[in-house]
Amino acid sequence: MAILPVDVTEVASTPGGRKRGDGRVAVGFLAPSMLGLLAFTAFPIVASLLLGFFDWPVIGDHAFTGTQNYESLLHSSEFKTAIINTVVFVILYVPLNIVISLGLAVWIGPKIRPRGLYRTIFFIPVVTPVVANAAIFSLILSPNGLIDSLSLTWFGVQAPNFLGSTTWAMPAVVLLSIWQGFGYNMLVFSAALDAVPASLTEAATIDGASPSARFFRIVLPLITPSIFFAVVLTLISSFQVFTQAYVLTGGGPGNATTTMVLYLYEQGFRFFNLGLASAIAWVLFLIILIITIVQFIGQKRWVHYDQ
Amino acid sequence: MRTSRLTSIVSIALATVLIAGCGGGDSGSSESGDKGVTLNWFMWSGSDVEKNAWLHIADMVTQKYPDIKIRFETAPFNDFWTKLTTQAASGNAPCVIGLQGQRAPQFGNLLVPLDDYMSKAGIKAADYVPSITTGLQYKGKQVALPYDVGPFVMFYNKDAFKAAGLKEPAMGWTTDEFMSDAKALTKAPKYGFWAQSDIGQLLPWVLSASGKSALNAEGKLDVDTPEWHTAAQWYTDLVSKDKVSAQIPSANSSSSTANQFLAGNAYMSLDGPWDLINAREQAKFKVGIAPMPAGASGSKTWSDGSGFGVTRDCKNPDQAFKAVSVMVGADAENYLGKLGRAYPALISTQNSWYEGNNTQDVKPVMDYSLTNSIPYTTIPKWQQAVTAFSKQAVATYNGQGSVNDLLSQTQAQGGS
Repeated sequence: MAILPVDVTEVASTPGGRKRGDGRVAVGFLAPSMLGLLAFTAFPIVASLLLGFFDWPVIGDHAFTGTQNYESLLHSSEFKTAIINTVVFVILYVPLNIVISLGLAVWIGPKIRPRGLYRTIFFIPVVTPVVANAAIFSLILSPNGLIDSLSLTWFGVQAPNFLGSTTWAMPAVVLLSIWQGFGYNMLVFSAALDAVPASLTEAATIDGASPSARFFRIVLPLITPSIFFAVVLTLISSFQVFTQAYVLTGGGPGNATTTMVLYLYEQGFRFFNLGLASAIAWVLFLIILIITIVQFIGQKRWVHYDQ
Repeated sequence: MRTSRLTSIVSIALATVLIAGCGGGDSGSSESGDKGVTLNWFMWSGSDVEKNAWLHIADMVTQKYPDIKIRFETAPFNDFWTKLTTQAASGNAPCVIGLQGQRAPQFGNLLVPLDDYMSKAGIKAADYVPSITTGLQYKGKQVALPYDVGPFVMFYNKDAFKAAGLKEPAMGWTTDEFMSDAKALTKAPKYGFWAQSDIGQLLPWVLSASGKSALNAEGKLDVDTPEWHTAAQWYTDLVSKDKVSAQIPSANSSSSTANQFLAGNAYMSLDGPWDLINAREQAKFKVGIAPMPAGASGSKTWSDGSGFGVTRDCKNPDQAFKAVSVMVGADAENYLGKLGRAYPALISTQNSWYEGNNTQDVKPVMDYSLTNSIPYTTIPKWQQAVTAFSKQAVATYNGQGSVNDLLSQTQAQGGS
């Protein structure tokens, strides 16, 4: 009995010491990932900021050029095209993705029987590598591919050359991206829909609310936090679209599907202008940052956190 | 307290080891005691068969010079250039590297001029095919010695020509004959010719029509010219007006899996002899080759090949040159030729390719095309030019852009 109070006072007399001890252990355990973060995230971020102000070919002499990289981007018609292409992609992709994934999430509600099976099936494209999905899509969309062959046998008409046409290439990239991406948001929405209390919708039914009124007036406002989360993340990832265009169309025809990150890749890893590529990365970062801030400010108008 | 400090020290130490393991500090060569040196050799390969061929060549080096050991590193062709660039940037370029002729302007300054080494060792440039020896020069100096070479020639489907009752393309055939054959062979969805968006596909037509290449006399890119316009328009018409070639599927379809000629969907296609043996093995029809059809300027084409050079980062350039001299020597060339991996650049060993692969039938065409070829000379900003070209060519050839767009954009990217 006497030992315990002694121990307590000992601990109490050195509260800071105990904390420090834990802190050190914590630092020790965090060190591997902290070092990783420093080496592979923090350092490249700082380096790319500096590189943006240099003419930095991989092989050859480096020279400080001030804001010249940013100025040349400002005057580059290709960079403008890349921004426009990216914005077009975002405008086509984000709303379609949200509507399709929300629609499917509503459809596979609790009444649909092998629900887990549907969820799994819809999630498969997300875990499939983009490159594999893109390879399948190019087999489907190419001349002599699936669509072309079917259209020829059924209607006797050749299908458009989707990937080689300036009109169709971007829609093809959007289509692949939706196939690749809808499963993730669907899962988020599906979980959010399950969390809507049944008592609320039941009460509304008793009050005579129609199914559409129940959905738009009660369910939808209740899941706005999830929708907000999905929109923010989807917007960020869609500004960074690269693989789909790279594998499917190589950025062409012309510059029809050259997105900002694809342009960055070309400059950095095909032409080895690391300075210019870093400048592009920072412009992209600023665009994403501003749009995300605007979204966070705007959320007060439509996102309901209280139930 | 003591245990916690111990834990933190151990975990930090562990992390340091992990991080250290990530950064590879690999020098180009290392002394292995007094027994000699180990040289790093970096070369592309696309399959295990190819990799084993290079390993065999590495053994040949050690057999001839027991004090030289080779550590072979490899990557697929496209990744090779990215990896080489990053290694060179960190001052860690391997001692001996592979170099393609058309990349010489891009990578030439990484390499040691070999002219003095060659004269000391008694290696004569004249023993090799001149177009590729020239192609592997940088600022007038020999920076790599060639192991293979090949002229771009016309591959054709012998069975399709026979079935259509056409005379097979032979030496001296003309662009007009090409056109009438292509029209006779085309029955959509099968086409007489396979047009592709690569600039190397258009260049032989420009050469044969006008004698002009992609560079002017000063070595600057010069494609926004009347000669290029005429040829590019003619080529565009093959796809969108005469329709003797299918539309270009996408700017990213140059992979061999998309090879329309091998698939039997197109009956003529420009390609290099480095693909001939593979084509004859894979195709379900007989594959023949013919020289470029003659235009107003005769039958002209380009040839390219690859070789090996010694990097400036290499600490043992003398031994590295010895290794290169074996890699492009008669024994190695005979071996690569017989295997079908390379059409040897060393003239005295070229028979190994014909005899080893039953390709004696194409010897006249090869000899003729090599004689009538120019090196695939390029510029430092060649990647910019060809990237712009192949992306815009898809739109232009498919009828969604003008030849002017194609050539002015290419010139803008590769010029200046």
